Amino acid sequence: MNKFNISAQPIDRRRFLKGALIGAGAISLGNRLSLPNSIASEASIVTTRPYNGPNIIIIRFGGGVRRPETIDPDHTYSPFLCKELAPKGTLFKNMEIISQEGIETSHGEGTLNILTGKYDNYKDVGGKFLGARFESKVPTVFEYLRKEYEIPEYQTLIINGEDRTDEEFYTFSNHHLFGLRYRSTVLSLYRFKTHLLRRQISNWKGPVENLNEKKQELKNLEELDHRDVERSARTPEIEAFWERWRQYYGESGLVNPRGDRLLTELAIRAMRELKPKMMMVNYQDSDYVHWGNITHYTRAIAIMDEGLQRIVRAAEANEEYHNNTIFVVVPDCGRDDNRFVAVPCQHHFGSKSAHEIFALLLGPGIAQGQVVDKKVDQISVAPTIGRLMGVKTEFSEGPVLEQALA
Amino acid sequence: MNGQTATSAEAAAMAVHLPVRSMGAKFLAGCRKILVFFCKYFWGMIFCQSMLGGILIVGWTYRLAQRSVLKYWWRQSELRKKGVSFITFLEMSERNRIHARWPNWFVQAKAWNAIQTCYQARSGIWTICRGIGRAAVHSLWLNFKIGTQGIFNTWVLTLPGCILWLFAWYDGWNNSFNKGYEQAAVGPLTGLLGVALFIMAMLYVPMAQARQAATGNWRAFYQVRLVWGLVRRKWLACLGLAMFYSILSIPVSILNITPIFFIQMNPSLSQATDAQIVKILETYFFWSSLFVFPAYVVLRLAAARIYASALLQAVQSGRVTLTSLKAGEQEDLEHLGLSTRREQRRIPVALKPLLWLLRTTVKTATIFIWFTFVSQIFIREFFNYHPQRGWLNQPLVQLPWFQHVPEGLHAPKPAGQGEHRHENTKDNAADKNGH
Repeated sequence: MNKFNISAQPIDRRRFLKGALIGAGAISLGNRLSLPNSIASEASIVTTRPYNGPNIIIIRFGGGVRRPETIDPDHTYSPFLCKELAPKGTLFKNMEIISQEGIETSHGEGTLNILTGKYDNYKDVGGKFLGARFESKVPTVFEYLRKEYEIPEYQTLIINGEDRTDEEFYTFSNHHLFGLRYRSTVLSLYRFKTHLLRRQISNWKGPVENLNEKKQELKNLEELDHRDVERSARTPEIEAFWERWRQYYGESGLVNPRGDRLLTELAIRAMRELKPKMMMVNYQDSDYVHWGNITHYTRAIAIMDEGLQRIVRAAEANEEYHNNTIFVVVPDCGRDDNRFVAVPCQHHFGSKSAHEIFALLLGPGIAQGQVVDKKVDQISVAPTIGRLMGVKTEFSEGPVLEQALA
Repeated sequence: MNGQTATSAEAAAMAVHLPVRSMGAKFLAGCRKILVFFCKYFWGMIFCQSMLGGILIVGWTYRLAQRSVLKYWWRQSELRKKGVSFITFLEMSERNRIHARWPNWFVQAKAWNAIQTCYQARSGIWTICRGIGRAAVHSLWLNFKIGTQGIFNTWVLTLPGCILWLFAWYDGWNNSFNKGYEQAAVGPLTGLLGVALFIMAMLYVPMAQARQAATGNWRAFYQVRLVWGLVRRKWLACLGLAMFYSILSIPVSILNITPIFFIQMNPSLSQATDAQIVKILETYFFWSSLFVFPAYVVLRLAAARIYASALLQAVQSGRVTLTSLKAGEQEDLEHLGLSTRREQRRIPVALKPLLWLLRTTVKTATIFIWFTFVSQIFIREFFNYHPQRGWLNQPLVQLPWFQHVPEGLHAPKPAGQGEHRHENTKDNAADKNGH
């Protein structure tokens, strides 16, 4: 039987043995392994409280932008963010990523700083060079929220880009009290492709050779999920979402928007169809400035700004979100301001500018028209979101951004 | 033979009658040579800092390469065995006399003699002034003229590939917006086509440059059959030349990339003003030319040496007739007694397949080595992109113009904006936001 139809069966022998072995191993290792911890926590914790707080939409204004091209009115390429949105909320213009040995200024790390409220020396779990398959040791804000309140996982969403599959798997931490049970769900073209392949395989009527190709293609994609846990994210709501996406955009992949515009589209559709209580949109295309053409960077910022505007407008127009949504706009990292070179926009060298970011919070309960000059940390975003949603983020290390609270 | 060229017998006689210099004079001449060498080197480094300077270097190097070709032929000649020095050989021809010393950057060779001749001719003041003016800038003009011709021809063959790289770079990164779908292949394929064109050009260009330099005639660059015949005759040497290019390109690439790490090397530089950065970069690139300038020159000299040897072999084997050469070359070869046809060793038929295999291997290896050269360009630009020029000008192939101060540092700042944009932003960003 096709491996990818396993979910249709209750459980097979191999999975059972694998789970049992991992579980036994976890117990013997004193809760040091990730997956069994999560499985263990699944059994012991039940949440029942309904969530009535504000919706949170986190816009990761990335991958990696500098202050001049974003929040500086004289040089900005994101006029909506800088000139329209910022006056409606609290702008922390001196937010930073800590300068400390082992703390990288990069996208995966920055995303986890925002989500967990803790800096860590993240290493790719497979030891891959330049890999960003990280596993957080402390819970993400999604996990805190889902543990505290009865929110289905399809209502805690991460919208990801197409070509950062490493970031597909930041949906839950290794923490023994949290983990898999309180995970969030990712919407991305990676997920759509796997949905599509599964659908094509199950409805296959063509030659067997082509079917095998499809199966191999699906296998290759599914193998990216090294923890083999994403199958559990295939809830009926998510499958229905992708089905509607397929009906609208077809199967070619040539009709739907591309790059960060795709993320905007996914986010807006998700707001309409899945009504997430918490959603993080991981914009990324400004990162291509690594490789030249500064105009690619500024164009990417402009595209993000348009996307932000569309999402804000969509929230205003949606009854579920209108006057009940807090936006948090924060870059994953800054970029260098290396004036010795023509394209001064790397971010791996740990320069001062690569640590310098900003954060804009706006929505109900957030002070309006306020600019905070004080230096604050990126890891303060998670506890602040926790405070706003009414959950205690006990493993985050940053202080709450009190200045933002009205 | 040209009436202005002395015969071999006269030359031998001249050689016998040359005065013998004392040790002291030799020492002084040696010191002078060293001084002149460093002086020319210094100017070469300065000229590496601009496009115009790069053109002057091309011209100067071509003149030096022409001298090098003559020197190679003289070494192979009977004249040398008869005791005729290289200088004596050059002095025998009005045309070659200019090569008695290394080419000058500015003043005419033997400028003082030229001025004296003018003066002694008791010409009018205007003629004397013109003579002085000509003596002062004759070499500069020659360098510019020959350099312009040289770079034009080099561009004709190498620039198409480079332009394709530029477009490939732009369009390839458009995939960041369009992702890997319909047009995804356009950028990479354009780049690959550029690579192929550039490598094809580089199989021909070094030898053609050497021919242009040796003949002093820009049209000689396009004698495709002759030049390609010389390349085919010297595949192994051309492989060596390609390796030389690729090896010398490594330090050039490192020098190109290094500025991106300046702040890591010295964090205090992040606080430097734009003016300070410009100064640091100008100094850096000036001293980088300590390597780039001689690397450019030595590659042309190596190509000239291969060319001289290949042409000599081709003439002596009868593959190239004297009449198909430019007049100056014919004259020089005849004068040196090198134009006579020599019996060539016949290659046994049994060895021919082996030779074919060897040649094919060498050709393939040459293409591969040029690919390593091109790869370095791509790696360099990935690390530190130099807008447009990084693709359009390869300092070892085209203009040895090696100065990359970011344009933004020279650009005038808007009113009210300080020099250090970043600091300025920090201070003013949200304050100007109307909050």
